[in-house]
Amino acid sequence: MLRTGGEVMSKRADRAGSAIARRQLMKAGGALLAGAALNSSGRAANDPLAKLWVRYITGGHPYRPSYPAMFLDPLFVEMEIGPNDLPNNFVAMVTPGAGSAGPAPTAGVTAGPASAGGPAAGAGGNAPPIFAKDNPPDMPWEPSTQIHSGVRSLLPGEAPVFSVFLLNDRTNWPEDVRSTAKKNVEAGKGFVVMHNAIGDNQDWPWWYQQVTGGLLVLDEHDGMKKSTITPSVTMEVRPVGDHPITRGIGTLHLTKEEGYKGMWQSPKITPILEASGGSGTDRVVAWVGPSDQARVVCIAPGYASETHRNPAFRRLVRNAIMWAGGRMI
Amino acid sequence: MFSARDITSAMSFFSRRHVLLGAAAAALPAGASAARAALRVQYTTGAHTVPLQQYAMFDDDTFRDLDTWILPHPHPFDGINGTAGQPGPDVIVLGDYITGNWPDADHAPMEKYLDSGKGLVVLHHSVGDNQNWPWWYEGVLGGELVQQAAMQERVKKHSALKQWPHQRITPVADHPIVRDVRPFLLARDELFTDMWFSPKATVLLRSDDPDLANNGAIAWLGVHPKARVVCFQAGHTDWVNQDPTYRHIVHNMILWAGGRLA
Repeated sequence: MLRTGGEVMSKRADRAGSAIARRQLMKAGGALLAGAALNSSGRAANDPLAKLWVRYITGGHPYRPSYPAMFLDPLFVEMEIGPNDLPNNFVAMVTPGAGSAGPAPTAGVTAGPASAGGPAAGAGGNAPPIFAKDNPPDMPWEPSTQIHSGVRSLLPGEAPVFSVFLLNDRTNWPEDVRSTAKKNVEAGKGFVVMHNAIGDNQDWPWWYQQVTGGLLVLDEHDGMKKSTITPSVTMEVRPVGDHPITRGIGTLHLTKEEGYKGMWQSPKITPILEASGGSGTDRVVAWVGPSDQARVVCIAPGYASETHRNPAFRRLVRNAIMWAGGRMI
Repeated sequence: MFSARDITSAMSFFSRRHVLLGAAAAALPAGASAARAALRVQYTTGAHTVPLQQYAMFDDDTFRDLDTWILPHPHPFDGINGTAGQPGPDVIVLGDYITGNWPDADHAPMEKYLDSGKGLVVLHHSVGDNQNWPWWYEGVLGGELVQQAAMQERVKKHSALKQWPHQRITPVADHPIVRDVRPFLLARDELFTDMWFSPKATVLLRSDDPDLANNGAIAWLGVHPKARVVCFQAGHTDWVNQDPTYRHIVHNMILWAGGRLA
């Protein structure tokens, strides 16, 4: 057990698969099964001394391993990043207290060894969860960055409250996901929409018009022309305006990027990065979405390993997550 | 359900340089392996948590000789048999966890892929995939986590979960994957006990944990008659996934599954 300033810090956790302590998960699972919803604006989410919980979600489109490796950089020390890819747990993790309606059914439900329930899976679904009962009392907490900073992750008995959703999937979400995503927008959660995910939800205007404010148009529809995707683009990217996300970032020289041109962009977005030097990219490559409820940041670059390893790009992504989580003003 | 409208490009992601290298290699005399194209590897996750360290493993220097892309569900197998002008992967590494069944649309491409003799590496949670698809575990993996009721009924057993055991792992076969591996201590991990095993499965690594089935089998060769299939049930925690020995073994598994380790 670790203590700082007399305060119990997060104890053991399965940082690995679930980023949630098994014991804590069991307690959380018990609460869920009892029908108690997690508090979406729980103390940990608003406590600057607690880590920012970030749900990493990908699916439906390929990306390089250098993208997740980026988040092991100590730069991301103030957050706990927990991957949980599509298809199933998106709903469970986006929805505060998802799975609280009752015990997981035996079919059509996702719930693994480290999950407490969830929505319909593919054919056959997942088995009911099985929980370990033999956690040793001295399991240390390993932060996602593996740096022990003194910042709390969880207090004993707490379940994580994911405040930011870091999207790099490219899919059209099904209706149940849309419904819960909408609730989370309305709840003021943070969304960082990376590269692939700017192509999400082609057929859901509410998402791209009112939330993200931009769309990589994959096929011409609804009066929008198809965007172009150009490989191996070199671009100079500079901050525009004075926004906390880009403060101190400087100019990014990006190579081998996948350039998006002809994205649909809402007049209501707030540009934060502009590109120059290439014909394969739109001018505005990062922006704050128009939602007046959620904090939404979209970042179009993010394809190349060279980009993922660029210190300024990492700083940009870190700032975007922190801002989306309400930790930067 | 989910749709990936641009999934047609899913397998266009393997870098062009590897296609060019492949063409160059074909033009070289036999034995001139230096110019061989890197193995194309698809790492597929989905439906369950995976530590960042497992993703990041593929960005480790050890794995830089591979051309790896991450392609999670949904529809991750649409392009695995190649599309016009674009090769599919040589090796698929599974890190997903869909214990019922993958969607039906995923079955045929995977069957075709395996029949073509390519490679499959199955890590940790993925030994619990497709429990309602007997062909998958009886005809491909040769070992399976048992949770789904139908599978419990079929194999007359039920798996359980054990957390954080200290394990001593010992190679038990003379096989290229473990030939350069000495007995080692595995970092604390999640362990699936009482798994089902095919009598045809060839065990590569045994754990000294007393609750494991099949005399401690923790890594084994699959039973598909054409594909190169290998399973390793370890790999839950960040500790294990950043362990150099674990990474070395997984790397060996990929090389062997891709026909590069004999």
